[in-house]
Amino acid sequence: MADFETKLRWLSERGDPVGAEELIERIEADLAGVPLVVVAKRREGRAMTKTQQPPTATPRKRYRGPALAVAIFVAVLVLPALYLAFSGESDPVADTQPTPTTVAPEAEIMTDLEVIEAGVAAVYSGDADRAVELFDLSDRDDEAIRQEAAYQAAIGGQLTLNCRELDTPGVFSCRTPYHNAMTDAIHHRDSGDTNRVVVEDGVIRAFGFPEHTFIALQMGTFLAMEGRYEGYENCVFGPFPEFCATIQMESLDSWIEWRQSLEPAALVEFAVESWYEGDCMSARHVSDFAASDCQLSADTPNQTMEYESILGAEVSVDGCEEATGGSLEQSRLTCEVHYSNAMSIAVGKPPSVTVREFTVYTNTGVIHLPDDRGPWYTFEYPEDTELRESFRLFAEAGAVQDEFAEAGCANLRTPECADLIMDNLDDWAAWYETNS
Amino acid sequence: MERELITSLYPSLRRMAAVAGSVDVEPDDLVQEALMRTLRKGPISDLDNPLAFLRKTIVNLASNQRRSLGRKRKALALLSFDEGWWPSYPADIEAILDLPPRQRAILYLVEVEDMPYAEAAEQLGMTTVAARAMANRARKRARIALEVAGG
Repeated sequence: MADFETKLRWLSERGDPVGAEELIERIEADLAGVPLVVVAKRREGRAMTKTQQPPTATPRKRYRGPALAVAIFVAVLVLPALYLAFSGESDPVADTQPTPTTVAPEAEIMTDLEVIEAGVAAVYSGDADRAVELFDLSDRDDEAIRQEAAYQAAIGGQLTLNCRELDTPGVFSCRTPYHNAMTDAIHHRDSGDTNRVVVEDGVIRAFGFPEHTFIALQMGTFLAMEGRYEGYENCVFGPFPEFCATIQMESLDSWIEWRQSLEPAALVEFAVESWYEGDCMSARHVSDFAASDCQLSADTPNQTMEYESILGAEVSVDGCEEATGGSLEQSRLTCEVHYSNAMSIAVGKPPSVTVREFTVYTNTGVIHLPDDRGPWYTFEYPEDTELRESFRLFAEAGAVQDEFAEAGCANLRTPECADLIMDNLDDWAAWYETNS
Repeated sequence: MERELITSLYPSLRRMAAVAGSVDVEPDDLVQEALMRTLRKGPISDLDNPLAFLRKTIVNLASNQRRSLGRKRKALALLSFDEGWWPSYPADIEAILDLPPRQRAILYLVEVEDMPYAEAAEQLGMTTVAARAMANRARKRARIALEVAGG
């Protein structure tokens, strides 16, 4: 398969093209016989952008119960009272104005529970201004509250409150089942976390916004395997920017299809290959949920990936077999990892083979060591240990002893160490031929 | 304007559909579906880069169809249906057809259209690093598939 170009060119010309004219006629027929030019006109003012939701998107639903309760409360009690106070007439009902749907904060007349309900209603209906009025949290600033409101509105987030007040006034224990377009799409039912919620002076001081981290992680793995991970690194743990909902909604259908045919061995292969290819975002996401750490050049996993990249490492995963001890949400696989790099090529050595176990968490799409002992790359690291050791012996024989120590080659796989190996590859190869 | 635009884009879109689509799906059907979905949302001429957007849509549709068809074929195999309807191709083409649509698409853009990785990545909505990694993975898989087929 040396000539990909010829094969692909042949493939691109397969079949009998119907031609643009016939295709346009078909489209016009399907679009109710309307000529395309009219279709375009009819849709003027609805310019499509990348952020537009797909037609399958679940319509945004609003949680109106508490807001309605507040509105009724204001309509029935507060407005008549004000009317009476200012007009002195005895029958204000007939003249009562329609109650506005967005009322000014009336914290002093709301019970603590109503404050919680109003705050939740504001966030999950996307009313960011009202949400900022009602939440004053130590772990989220106003901007984060606004983000949360925008995200929840876009993803169709809905939260049910089940609160009971504890012995201390204003302190509640609330169970908060939560669902959104993603959980609905996979029929996931959330029984809800229980969190401590604190209300002081009419504002919410402590509140835990529920997240379905495993779903966000699995969506990330899907996007990584599709080569579309960029930007998603901020969408795994909340608070989520609004654009996360755009990515998630646009990918909803294809993610569902993908998760139904998910093969654990394919996940292992992807995790290992993306690691050695230096695709940091993908590799870190599927290995330790730390894609955002790819910005850190001094980070050990990032340095290791750069080391492998400089050495031109190539891996393939083969012969994965199911090991015992798996469960519904995790598979234990034993796989062969074939590894080669510039050193093995320089001395004509075949790829080294490491047989090792991986645990695949299919619910999150993340690969770990067995028994959740950490990321897969922290133990039984696939590489050619014999060649790595031989370079140590070569270096310590005096040729590049100081540089070897300075680059930290003895204990770490650093980019400096890889550079040192590459700079001395020919000398080392000659040394290896006579000393191996 | 939409007609002219579609006419001018058609050859490129059809080639992409032929490369990325499953062999039991007509490339023209894939192009039609992509255009219809896009037109339902708004005029194609309003898009910043209509060719990239439509190519991306075609590859996404092809990926979805591949998964659906894969399940259908598995089900048919279990029922011992005759698989004669599945067209056969020379082994070297089969090796490419076994690749996922996105991998085929990136290889096509890089190898045939001679597109730089950065541009191909943009066309398919991925990073340059991911595009390069995906193309390498595709080449490697195609080589292995061919070796297996060649015994």
